[in-house]
Amino acid sequence: MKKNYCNNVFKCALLFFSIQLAAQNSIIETDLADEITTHQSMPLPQPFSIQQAISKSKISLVQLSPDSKHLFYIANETKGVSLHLYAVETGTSKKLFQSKILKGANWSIDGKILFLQGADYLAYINPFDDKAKAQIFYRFNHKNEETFFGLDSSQSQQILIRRKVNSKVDNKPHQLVRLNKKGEETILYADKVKIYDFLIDDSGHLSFIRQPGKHKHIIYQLNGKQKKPVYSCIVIDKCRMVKFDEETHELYISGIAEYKFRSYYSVNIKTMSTNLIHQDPKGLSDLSSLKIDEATGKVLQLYYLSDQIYHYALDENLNNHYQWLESNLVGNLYISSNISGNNWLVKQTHAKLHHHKYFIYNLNTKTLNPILQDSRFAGKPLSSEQLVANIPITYQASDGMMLYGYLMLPAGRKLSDVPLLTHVHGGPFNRVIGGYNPIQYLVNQGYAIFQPNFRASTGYGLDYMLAGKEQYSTRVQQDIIDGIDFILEQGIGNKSNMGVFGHSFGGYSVLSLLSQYPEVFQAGIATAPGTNLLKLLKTMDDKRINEYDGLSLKLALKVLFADLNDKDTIKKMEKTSPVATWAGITKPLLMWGGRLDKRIPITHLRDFALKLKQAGKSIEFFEDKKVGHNPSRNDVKTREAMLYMMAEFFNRHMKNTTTESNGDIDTYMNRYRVY
Amino acid sequence: MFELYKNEIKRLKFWIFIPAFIYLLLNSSSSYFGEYKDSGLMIGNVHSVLFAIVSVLMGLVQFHAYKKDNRWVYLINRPISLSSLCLSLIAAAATIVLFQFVVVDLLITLTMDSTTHFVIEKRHYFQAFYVFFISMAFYLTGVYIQLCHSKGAFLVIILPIFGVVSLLLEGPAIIISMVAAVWLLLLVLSVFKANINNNQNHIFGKIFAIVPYQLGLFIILTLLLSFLMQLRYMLIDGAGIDISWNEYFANDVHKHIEYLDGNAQLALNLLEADPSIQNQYLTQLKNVKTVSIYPEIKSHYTQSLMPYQQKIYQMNITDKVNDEEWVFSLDKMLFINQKQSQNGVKLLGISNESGQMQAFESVPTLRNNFGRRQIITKHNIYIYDTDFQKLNLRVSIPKDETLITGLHAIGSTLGLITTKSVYLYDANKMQNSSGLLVPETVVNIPGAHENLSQVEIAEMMDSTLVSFLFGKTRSTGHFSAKQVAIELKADSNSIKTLAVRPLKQGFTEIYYKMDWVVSPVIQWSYQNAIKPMLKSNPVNPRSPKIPINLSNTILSLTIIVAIISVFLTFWFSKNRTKTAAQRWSWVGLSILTSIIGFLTFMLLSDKNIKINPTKIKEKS
Repeated sequence: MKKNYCNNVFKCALLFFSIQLAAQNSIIETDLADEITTHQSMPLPQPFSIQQAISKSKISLVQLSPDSKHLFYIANETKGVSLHLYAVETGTSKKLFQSKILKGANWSIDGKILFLQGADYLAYINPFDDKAKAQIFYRFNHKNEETFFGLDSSQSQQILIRRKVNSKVDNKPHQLVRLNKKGEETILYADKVKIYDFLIDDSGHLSFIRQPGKHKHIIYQLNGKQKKPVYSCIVIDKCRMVKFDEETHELYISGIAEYKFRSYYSVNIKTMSTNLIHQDPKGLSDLSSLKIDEATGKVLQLYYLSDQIYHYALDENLNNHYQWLESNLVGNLYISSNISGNNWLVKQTHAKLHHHKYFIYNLNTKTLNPILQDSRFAGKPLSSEQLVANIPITYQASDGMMLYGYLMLPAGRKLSDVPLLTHVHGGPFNRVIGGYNPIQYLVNQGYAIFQPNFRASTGYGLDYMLAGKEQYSTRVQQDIIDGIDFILEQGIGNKSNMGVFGHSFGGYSVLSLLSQYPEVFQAGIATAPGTNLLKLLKTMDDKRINEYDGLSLKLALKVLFADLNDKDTIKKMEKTSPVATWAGITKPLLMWGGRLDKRIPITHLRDFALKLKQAGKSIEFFEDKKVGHNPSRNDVKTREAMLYMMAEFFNRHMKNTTTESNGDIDTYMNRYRVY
Repeated sequence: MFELYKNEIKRLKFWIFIPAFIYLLLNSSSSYFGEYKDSGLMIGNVHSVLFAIVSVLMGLVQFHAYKKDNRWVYLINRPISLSSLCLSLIAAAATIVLFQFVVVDLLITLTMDSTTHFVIEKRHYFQAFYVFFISMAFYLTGVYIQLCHSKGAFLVIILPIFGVVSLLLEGPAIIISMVAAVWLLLLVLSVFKANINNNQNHIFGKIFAIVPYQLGLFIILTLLLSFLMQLRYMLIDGAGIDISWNEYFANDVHKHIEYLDGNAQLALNLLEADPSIQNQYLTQLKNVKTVSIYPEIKSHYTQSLMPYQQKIYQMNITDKVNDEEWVFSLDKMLFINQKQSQNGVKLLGISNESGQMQAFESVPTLRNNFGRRQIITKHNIYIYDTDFQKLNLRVSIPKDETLITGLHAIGSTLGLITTKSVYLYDANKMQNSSGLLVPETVVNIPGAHENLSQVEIAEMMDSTLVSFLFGKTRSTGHFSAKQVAIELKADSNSIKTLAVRPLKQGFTEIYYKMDWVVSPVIQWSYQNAIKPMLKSNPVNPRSPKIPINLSNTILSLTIIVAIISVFLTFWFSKNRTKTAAQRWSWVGLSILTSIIGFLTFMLLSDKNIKINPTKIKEKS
């Protein structure tokens, strides 16, 4: 069993609690005066096109080898993708092959081969053999819902797949299967219920699994064919097992447990006592991710995303490296740390960085070496001068709660006069992370864009997420209005020229805001919006969409949304839903929906739009017949058309200007415009 | 003469009602099951069987009555010529046929045209000619069998059968059935004699009979021989009984390969590749799924296409989004909105360079693949756009080649085959654009397109494998059977031939070449003149054919059979011919058509029977 490297857990926990307490007390509203001065004094940026704003990075995946001496990267090509091997020491790279079906890759645990994934196949290649070719060793049986489930950390060159066998022989259709590179399989576990998380011990046996129970996620300890429940996590906590210490009986988990934030903790499966190991020292955010060394079980990295990503370790030496990196590179860093080699891979992202940058960080020399720059430039990214930062802001809501968000300000313009757009994120159990977003095209056109992480957003702890419960059309919308007021008060944006747009829940929010605060906005765009959250969530629950790792949405909604059996609450919510308040909409509205949307039925949108149309409101409605809730990643044309749609609509209603189009976009607009 | 015609109609009137009722019933049932005029080949086939049975029976029955006792003498003693007599009887039968089938067919067409929204065109009315001529040809076959003394008289049925075959092969069935009817009329006139017992045919009658006799004999004999040979395999090895034919043959035989899964086909193909290639691919192929593309367009419809020749739904575009049904009009060469009565007449054609709608130059073929309705012309593929209700040109190939498939989905790629090449396109571009697709890769077909059985395509991780299986027309001897594997590299676009694997025929050589042994001249004529005549417009350009290579064994057998046939003809002709000219003519025919010539001679030249004039006198 893997060993616990945090020997001073109790001391650590005390330290973190004290830091958190201090942090919460110190939250103050952001003063944007300096940002205003800086942005106004900037020159007007070079304009760029919608196609440039949408363009994808040339490099789609980079992964460092376990010994940190090599990395592979996947580059987007005109025809498919290409896989490359990069030698860290020499800085040289070689193309292994080009493929039209390669979707992903992983180093094997021993770092000697690369496992490759396609939509239909699993393959491998020895990247160090010049003559080696990719070898397909397994074909997914899609009838059995087979999916790649990660590497088997207990084996040097084996992977795991998950499937549901359509056989009624032993009534155990859900299988976890180990595959070697010859395609030979070993069934590790079969059960009636699907497995969502697991731990494999050093001898290669499945030791723990997580499956949905009736109301909670249950962690079972396996002993041969016997399984024993040892711990449970609440419905909204998809807790993740990290390791198990056989000597101390401590099971290490990343989850919520009884804490206010998603944390790293252990539970003694004999005594059931929990022990907090790590929480955000700033006391602001949930644990986003955790990385351990597969060989030793040592926790290498815990990262938290508040205004940006902050990395921590349980080891002082590692912590120093993270702090050094964060002080030397701006933005969100994704660090592939390890203890078996001398190099780390660092991916840098932020709003002014159109395509990510990659660095090799040498632990011995504490030097950062930018890599893959030629490939990055080959993707023709926008220059930083054309883009603006996504400024994290903190503001106080009218009920006193401190809220977070981001703000993008157009450069070289008088900010008190610029039109202000509010971009509401979807979910609502989601958040804005402040990186590059193609809506920078609108900023480039002179709009300021506010992106609130209103209450109910994720990542800021349990209380923050649950604070919007039962108030999605009221308090949550007020949070957005409070954020806009805060920005206006800072001297940003023209109060009489504001717009709002959002997708999914963001679209729902647009409908709510336009109907409840018609005087605030000049125009709104709701893409794939819910029009009646209650009806929608019931439908989604019936269709088993958005399940919480096998637990029904209905169970999660009771915690997150509202008790759907409480008639009074439901009545109140229905009264404030856009489907009831639609008559209040007086400003121009554009709605877009995908006919193949399984979450939000297109009929909801059609009915809503028709109602507005019949009432003589200013409504434009687009129905894309080939798209679902979101356009697919490869569907560049739809993404371009949607961005154009937004720019054109806001330019027409807020700036009274026309927007340049092209043949494809015109075709799209004509094709899918209903009215 | 007119009296005879009238009386004959009265006599045969019951032949109108029952067949007409059955024909009506068949039409009603096909209408009930969804389609009437566009119901296609199957209905045409069933109807033709009805025409054949009823008409042959009518011919047999009509003339059987006259052969009884004195009726023949009573018939021929009328004060008109023999041919007028014969034509009066045939005219009466033709009138019956008109009312049996032709009028019914026309009435149904007229009703459909005036009362329904089906697109009824000239070709629907012209179909009545086929109904008339094919029925008459079968009827005259019955008459000929009844009047001709030859035991092989039934062989003339090959002529109307050619008419039906032509219908099935989408060929000029009206013309073929008309020629058959005229030919049979002349044959009937040649055997309509004052002395019904006279077995001596008129010289022209014999000349006219030789062609159908020879063709009929040739087809029967070759079919019989091939069945007997297959029977040998079945009885000795249990092939086709205990073990399926494809499994019976070894893995280097075309028939074995064509039934295998695509990856197994590719694996066998690669057995001829370098060991390094085998190492690279053979293990992988066990896990790889291939996509098969079969040449699906063998011919092109003409504007004279009869509804009987049309496959169900082949000319329709069903637009469920807008609740429209577009049917291709061969008169207008445009699609017509079938629901025009509700929504006004709408036409759908192709766009010219200035964006205006124009008619198709030739009749397109329609196919459904990966959920898209494809309108395929010789050089272009159009996809119906439900949003704008128009046809978008998505594929265009050079004019020196012709499409033989529509687009097929192969993972991330779309592929099609032309008479010259395999074209591969990016599937994403089909999804995300509406313009003309540019091929990513073009692979030349390493063989004749007419001989291409299928193409197997496998998208591997770093390459695409294409395996061609040739041998569809191997039995003609003009093309050989083989497998060719090609590798396409995604990055360099390089095309590399990995393996060429020659395939065997399976059966012994004699099985495939026995037609030549039976009669080289008829085999050549049948393959090169008759068969092409029966078919519709073949896909062009045609590939150059390899001259047929007959082995010494086959050549020797052919010569031996021919010599024996000539000898036998010469021997038997002593008792069966009156003049030396006749005798040498038959010998000449045997030299020309080998054993078929001899058998024709035996059937058309019965032993001389002396006519007993006193017997006739007594009866009269």
